[in-house]
Amino acid sequence: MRTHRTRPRARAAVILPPVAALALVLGGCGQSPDAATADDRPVSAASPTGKTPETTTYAKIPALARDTGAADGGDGTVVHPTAPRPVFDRPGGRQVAVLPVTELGGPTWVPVVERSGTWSRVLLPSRPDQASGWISGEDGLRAARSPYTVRVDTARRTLTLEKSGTSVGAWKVAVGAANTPTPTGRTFVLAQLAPAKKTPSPLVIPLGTHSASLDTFGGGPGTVAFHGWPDASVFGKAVSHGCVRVPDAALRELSRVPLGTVVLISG
Amino acid sequence: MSSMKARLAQIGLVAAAIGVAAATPAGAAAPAATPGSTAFGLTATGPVSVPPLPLAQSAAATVTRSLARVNPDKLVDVGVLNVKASRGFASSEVAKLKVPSAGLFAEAVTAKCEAGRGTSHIVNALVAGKRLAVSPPPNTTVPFHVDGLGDGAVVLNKQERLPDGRLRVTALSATVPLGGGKAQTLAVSSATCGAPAHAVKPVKPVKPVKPVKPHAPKAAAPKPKPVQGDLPVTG
Repeated sequence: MRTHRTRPRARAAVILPPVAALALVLGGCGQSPDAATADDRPVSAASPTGKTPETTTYAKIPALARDTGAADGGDGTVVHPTAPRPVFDRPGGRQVAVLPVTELGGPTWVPVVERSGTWSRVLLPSRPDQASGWISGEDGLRAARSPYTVRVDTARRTLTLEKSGTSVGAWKVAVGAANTPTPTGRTFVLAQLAPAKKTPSPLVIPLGTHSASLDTFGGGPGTVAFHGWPDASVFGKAVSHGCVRVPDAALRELSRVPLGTVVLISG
Repeated sequence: MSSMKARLAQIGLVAAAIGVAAATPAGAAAPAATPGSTAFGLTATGPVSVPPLPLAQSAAATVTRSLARVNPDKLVDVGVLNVKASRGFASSEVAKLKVPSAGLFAEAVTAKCEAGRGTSHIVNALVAGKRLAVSPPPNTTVPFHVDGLGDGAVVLNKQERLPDGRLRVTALSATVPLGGGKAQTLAVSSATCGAPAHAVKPVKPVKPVKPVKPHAPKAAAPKPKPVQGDLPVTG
C-alpha cells in the first residue's frame, strides 16, 4: 500500500512488536506517525486550569459513571456546551471531569441518554469505555435532535443506518479481528476528520469508544472509528484492529450523521 | 442576661420575617402561576427549618425586602439580607454568612437573574478550609468532610430551569453533615426570573399536534463539517 512509503513509518514497524507492526501495515486509517494530529495535546487527563480532567478521547477518567448497558438510542437529543462544563458522577454529586467545548478540533456534541430533574446524563469519549457523566441545567448548552441511529452488528458484520426509525441503508462492513475486537455497547459519533492523506479513507469518523485490547495505536489512544477502505474484499470480515471499515456508499451516508448521534454496537 | 436579650431579639426578628413570608400568597418553593420573579436570602430544610427569608415576589413593579440578621439556630448565622424582584428581574444579596460546624464562611453571597439569565458571586468564601471561587461556572460542586460529622457538599451558582420556563439561580446551596447520617440543607441568595415580557410572542391557538417525547428538542442537529486533521485510530 502507498501508506508504507514514508520512512518514519517503516522504522517504527521495525522496532515495534509484531502485532503493532501489523497494525501499522494495515494502515491505521492512513495516518503517518509524523502527521499533525487534529488535537496535538499529549495523552493526559489534566485540564489546563486545574486538577479536574477534561473528558476527551485521550483521557482516562476512572471516576466517570459507566453507561447502564442499555441498548436504546434515547430520544435523539444531543447537546453542545458553549463553555467548558462541569461533569458530575451523579446528580448533585462530585465533579469528576470537565466537558470541553471542542473535541478533536470540532465542536463537542454528546448524546443525552438519561434525565433526572434538571440533570442530564451524557455519553463521554474517555476511557474506560462506556463512560458517561451528569451535567446540570440548560444554560450554556445548545440542544438539538439527531434523527439518526447507527447500528453495528459485529457478529453479522453489518452496519445499519436508521433515520427517524427507518432504515436508510445497510452494508456489509469489516469489524475487529478476534484478538482486536470492535468494542460493543452504546457510544456516539465524536468527530469528523479529513486526513491529509486520502488513502485509505478521505473521511475518518472517530467514535466515543476505544479498543479494549490496544491501549494505544499508531500513537493515538486506540480510538475506534468508522472509515472507508480501498479493498472491498474486507467487507463482511473480522479483520480490523477495532475500527469499522465501511464501503464508500456507507461513508457518504455516515458523513451526514450529526456529531453526538448514538452508535449501538452489538456482538 | 444581655446575651439572652439579644437572642430573643434575633428570634423575634425571625418570627417577624416568617410572618412576612407567610403573608405572601406563594412561597419560593411554589411559585405563583403567573411567571413572575422571586428572590430570597436564606432558606433551610432539615432539622432546622427556615422558610425563604426575606422573600420578594413580583410580576410587575419592583418589590424589595430586607432583614438585618437571621440566626435561627447555632447552625447558621446570616447578616444583612436584601432581596428585590420585578418583571423579568430578581436579585439577592446576603452578607456575613457563617455555618461554623462546616467551616463555611462568606463575606458576601449574591445572585442575580435578569431576562432569564443568571449570575452569582461569592466573596471571601471558605468551606472546611477550602477557598471558594468568586464566580464559579454553573452548578459547581465542592465536596467537603467534617471530622466526626460526615461528608457534605456545596453547590455554587446552582442554575435550574423550572417547569414553567423560568430560571432559578442560587448562589450557594449547601448540604451540611450533622452526624449520625443526618444533614441540613441550606440555600443562600436565590433569584428566579423569566424572560422579559417583550421576548414572549403571543401565540395563536393551534390544532393539537402529535405529542413529542418530553425534553426532545425540535431543532435539528447540524450537519457535521469535517475538520482537517489526523487521529491514529484502530484501522
